[in-house]
Amino acid sequence: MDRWVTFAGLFVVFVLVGTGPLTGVDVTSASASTFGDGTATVTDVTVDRSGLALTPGRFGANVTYLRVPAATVSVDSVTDRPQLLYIVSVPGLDVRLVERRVVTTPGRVRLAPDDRAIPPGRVDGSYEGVLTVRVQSFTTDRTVARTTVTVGDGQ
Amino acid sequence: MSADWRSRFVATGRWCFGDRRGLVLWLGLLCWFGLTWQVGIFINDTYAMANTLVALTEGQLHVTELRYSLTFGSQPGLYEYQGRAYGRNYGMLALAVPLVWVLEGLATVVAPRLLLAGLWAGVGFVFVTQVAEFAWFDRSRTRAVGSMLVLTLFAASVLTATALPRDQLALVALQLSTMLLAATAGLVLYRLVGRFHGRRAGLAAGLLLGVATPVGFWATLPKRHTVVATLVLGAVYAFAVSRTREGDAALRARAGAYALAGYITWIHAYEALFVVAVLGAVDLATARDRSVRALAVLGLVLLVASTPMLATNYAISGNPAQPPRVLPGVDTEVSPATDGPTAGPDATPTPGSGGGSDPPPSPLDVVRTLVGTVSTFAGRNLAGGLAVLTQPERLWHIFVRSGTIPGVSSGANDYEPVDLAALEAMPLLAGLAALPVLAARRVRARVDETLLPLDPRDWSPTRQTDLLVVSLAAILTVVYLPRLPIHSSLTVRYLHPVMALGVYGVWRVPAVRAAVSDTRWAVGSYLASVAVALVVLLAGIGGLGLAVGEAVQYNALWNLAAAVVCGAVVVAYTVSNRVPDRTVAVAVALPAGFASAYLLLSGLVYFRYGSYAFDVVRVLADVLPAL
Repeated sequence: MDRWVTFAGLFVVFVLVGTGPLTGVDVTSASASTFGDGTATVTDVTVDRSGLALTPGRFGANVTYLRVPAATVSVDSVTDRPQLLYIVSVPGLDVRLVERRVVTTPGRVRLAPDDRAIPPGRVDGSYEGVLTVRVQSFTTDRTVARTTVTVGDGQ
Repeated sequence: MSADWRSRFVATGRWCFGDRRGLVLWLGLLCWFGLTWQVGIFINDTYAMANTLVALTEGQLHVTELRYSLTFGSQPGLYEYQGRAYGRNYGMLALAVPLVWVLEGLATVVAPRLLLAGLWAGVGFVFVTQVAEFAWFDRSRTRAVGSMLVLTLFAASVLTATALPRDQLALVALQLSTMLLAATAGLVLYRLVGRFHGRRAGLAAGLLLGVATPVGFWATLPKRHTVVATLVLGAVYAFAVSRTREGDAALRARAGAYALAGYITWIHAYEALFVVAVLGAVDLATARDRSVRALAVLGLVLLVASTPMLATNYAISGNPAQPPRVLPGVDTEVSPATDGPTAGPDATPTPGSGGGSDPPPSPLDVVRTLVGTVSTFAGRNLAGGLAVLTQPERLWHIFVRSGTIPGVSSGANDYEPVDLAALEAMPLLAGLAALPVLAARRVRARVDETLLPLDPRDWSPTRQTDLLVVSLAAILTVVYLPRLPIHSSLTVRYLHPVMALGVYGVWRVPAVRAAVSDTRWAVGSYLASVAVALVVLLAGIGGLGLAVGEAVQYNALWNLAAAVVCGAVVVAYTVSNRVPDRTVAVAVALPAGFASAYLLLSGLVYFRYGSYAFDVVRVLADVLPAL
């Protein structure tokens, strides 16, 4: 064993035991998706409403995709661990997408749900879509932005 | 005394890994799988597996605690007998049980997330010290640089670490068990190909199995396919060894092959049936020693290897010939096989052998069940599989091009076409395109005064092994054809063992072996190919705003294009002698690079379902373009 490897190995063991249940020192943080109490002040929400669209799949994906625009949320202040929810709902297509992000610091947060595949033949006509942004925690739950968009043929 | 201990240690290492390259390959593959490892449940079938594993670690066969799901309803792959819910693939879970104990033991002194980082660092250190021994590296500099690199990754993982609940450790152990086995598959292939074609070809074959085939995709997704593929490769390797040895050494190796094949019965009796049957047929057709003694030894080994399966079945239903899979599924509000998203297509239809409270069966009943099960499943599927061979469009969707396949994937996976065809999932298979040319050449050679003796017993060990591999691949493909194409198979996972055997086939092609005649050029081509693939794919994901199904299909089309180039060049090399080795190297590196990129992006971009085992990877994945 070379001294480099011995040194590095000992360091690893030292860190592992030093941060383990024996010492009670916990260096792990809560997982990024764990939310708690508190609230956030939202000053602005930007959504490109024309981004909500029904378009055919590409590269051999023979389905129709509901393309979903990203929501950019400007957060002014945060206390504790609330989460932002961006809900895209098109009841006529049985679609309800929820993108969530726990915020701990002020700044701009981009919420971009995945596009949703609709089986071939299912889409017929136009549909009403509702885009909602909410702030949620164990102590609060309020809507900070809401808009409706028509998607489909009649667009 | 210490020297004696040391030499024994080295001898054991040599027996397991062959040589230092084998060890480095095995450790390297483990590190590579760790890179995209997400602790979590990707496919619904894993709920039942993980819950059954928890029960096994507490000494019970039936599920006692729903640790990884809230209800029975979300878990395909649970079977009911007299009011108790049983899992399946017990032989695979049994391998993970000691890992659960080790991890839970270590977790009493180390936080679970850091435990993973520590184990990764440990593997990294051993890898570095072993690599440093190779003659073409400066030993002390490699050790210094390597250990600092490992230390940096470890430190980064610690600084970004998120909490991992301790009750996740059984799932971690389950994932770890298939990672270890997938790395072992690479090692076995290295030794198999290395035995016939030298260590360089062997190393390339073993490495590519882990980094450029579906074996890498499923390494961290704990399904039986990885385990069966590894055992099948192991049986083929033991068979190959037996053909190059004499006397008792040969018989020992043959017994090893039967033991590995027999163990599969405990994981998946249906697949084991065909593996054992083919192994037996090819072994008897090619063996020099068909004495009563040899047959008795092999039969006994097979029986012993199947004993855990028989005992488990007996403990569950009282009938050793009735695996849990043929018991009725656990009754739930949600019918798991049809309704649930990513419901396991594994939920094999039950052949009407009801559970209930039957009296213990007589040996005659046992034999009758066995014959009944075999004829119902095997006979029907063999006939059905041969019938599928006459349906070109269906074969096209299974083997060449997926896209949205009519009649498949409706409902499951949210209508996303994420299930690839075989060639898309493993474009390296294009190397097999040279086989017809080689076969035709052989037939011609045979017409002008034979090369190949008629009696398979006089064939060379290589030819005999080829016969076993081709027979296994053919049977294991045909019996699954009636169920393909199917949703949630992702890489045609039912053909997983066949694909592992396919890599052996690819490296038996002389043109493919020519690709590694210049090592530096081959490695350079591969790395360049991975880089090109990542740029092309990430640009598509970022620039075209692809949904997950589109992204997977976009990747699949690039894989196919790479496969076409590879196939064309390999055939050209085979028919003419004017194609330079370096061109073949690039042509083989191309599908390998795109397949590696598929594995990386599957783990980092396409499918994100759990928490990354190493948080430093999460930080990296977050800066990549998202879907």
